[in-house]
Amino acid sequence: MGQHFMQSVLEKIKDAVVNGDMENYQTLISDALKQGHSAQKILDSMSYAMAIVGEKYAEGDYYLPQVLVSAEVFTKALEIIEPDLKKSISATSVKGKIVIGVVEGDIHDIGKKLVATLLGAAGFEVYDLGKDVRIEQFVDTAIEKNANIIGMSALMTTTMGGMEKVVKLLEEKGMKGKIKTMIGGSPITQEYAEKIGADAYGESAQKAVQVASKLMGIGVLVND
Amino acid sequence: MIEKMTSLERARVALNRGVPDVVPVFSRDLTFPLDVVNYTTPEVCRGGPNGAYNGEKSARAVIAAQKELGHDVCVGSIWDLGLSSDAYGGITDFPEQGIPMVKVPAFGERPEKIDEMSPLDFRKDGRYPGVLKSYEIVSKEIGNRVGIAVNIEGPVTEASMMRGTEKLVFDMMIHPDIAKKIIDLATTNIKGFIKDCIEGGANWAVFLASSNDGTEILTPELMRKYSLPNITTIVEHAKKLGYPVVFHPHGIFTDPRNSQLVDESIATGIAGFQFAEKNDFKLAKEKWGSRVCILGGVDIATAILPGPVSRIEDEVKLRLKECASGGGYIVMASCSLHRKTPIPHVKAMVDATHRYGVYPLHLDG
Repeated sequence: MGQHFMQSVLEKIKDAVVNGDMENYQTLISDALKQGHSAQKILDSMSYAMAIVGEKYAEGDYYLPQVLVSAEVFTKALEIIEPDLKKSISATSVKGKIVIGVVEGDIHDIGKKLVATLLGAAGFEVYDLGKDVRIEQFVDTAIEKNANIIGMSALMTTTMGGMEKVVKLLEEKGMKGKIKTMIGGSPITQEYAEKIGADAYGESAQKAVQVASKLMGIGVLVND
Repeated sequence: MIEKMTSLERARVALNRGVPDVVPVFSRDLTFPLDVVNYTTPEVCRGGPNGAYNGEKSARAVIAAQKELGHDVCVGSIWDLGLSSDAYGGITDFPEQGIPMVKVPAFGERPEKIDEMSPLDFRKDGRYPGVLKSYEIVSKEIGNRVGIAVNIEGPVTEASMMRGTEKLVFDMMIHPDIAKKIIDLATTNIKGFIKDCIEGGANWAVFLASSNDGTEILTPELMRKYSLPNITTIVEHAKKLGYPVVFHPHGIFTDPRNSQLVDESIATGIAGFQFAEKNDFKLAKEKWGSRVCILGGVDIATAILPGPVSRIEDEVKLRLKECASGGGYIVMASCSLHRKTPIPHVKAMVDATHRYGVYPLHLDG
């Protein structure tokens, strides 16, 4: 109990995200700001927390509902600090730009949303196109936003073929290699990624962050 | 030498953990048969008068697929996941050559609407009368020799179709009263659908397609709270009607952290458990094969979709070695089969099972 009272407010924020504490996160953010912590410091604690959540999910210690609630706390807390954050953030602090979505014909977007949240927490600028995304929309948006990576998810064996079409369209437009591709989802495997010419495969939401970081040539956020 | 059985007989024997003449195949061909007869998806799923489900075309597709492929058990209709949501006012999209998808779940934005809703009357509501018509035709045409399964979602999965998966998960975590109401309504509807399908000629078993009832979506605690008690209710209902139940929750249940849930699932009274992809089938057979029929085994993403035929045959032979000894095993793909799945690859799964799965087994050579 003593240790609880010794915790700094930033540690409490980290725990609130990890534990999906919907009741207390607002008060904790407010306390942290009052104590003079910068929005960036608060974001760092929250991002670290989401990395822990991603790791727990990858290890099988957390299940999807726990991750969803943690992601919800993260997103809501981010909304509170966003105005302050925008004042301090610079373009150079962005690790990379990524366009992400669920391929055409597929509406299972929970996994993709988790990946998007974790990527955002890890410092990527994320353009989330949602679910049932057309092939051309992935490529057009990536070119328009000058993105480094296209991330695609599929949960159905019948829709995963859309990923190959995106890779081929990038090739046709002469953008393959300039815009990297990473894929994931329940039926997807490393073998499939290699078969269709995708640059990387993310086995889990947490791995997807590591893979995106590697594609950008930067270190991963969390050490195992 | 075991006397030759009809497809229905061997499927019944295997589900009862007995030794049939040959290992049966249940293709769980939900929209797959549409490719066999070259119908569009809307032509069947809303191709009747006033956007009704076309039961005649559905039945023609199911029967043609069974005749071409020779699987032992089929589903009595083309199945689309939007049926219940549509019946309560949701919106489903029907791609010409794709799988029907719930675009707007009936209770997605206004869960309080649930309080105004009654259980469905499947002979009148939504597109269900066409589905039941399909079961009747399929039963009349091939029901004397082929197994016809009732295919219906499990309680949490069915509730997810009406509410949206993410919202239902949040309800379970934050608004359990809403989650309970929707899942209870789903359970009541599942029971009603089972009764009407059996009256329509389903002759083998009830298959609970339960992708969202397992640990791929739920925590073990949520599965225990929201899924398994309702599975018990459904199993009791089906047993009273004289039919066994197969449960197919998604998740890796051979993982020690989840394996207790298989024991608890068996305790609900199910006759069969279909393991999804990434499970250890050898372990599943050793651990639970004496208490429940094991179903599944041929991976869609790595074998059935890409092929070649030799890879599918190898996977079938491996599964037969792991699971078929002593009976109580039914070959299935790792999940349901939909259109755009190569027809020769599905046929390869059926043919390989019937070629190598003859009892007594000789698989070591």
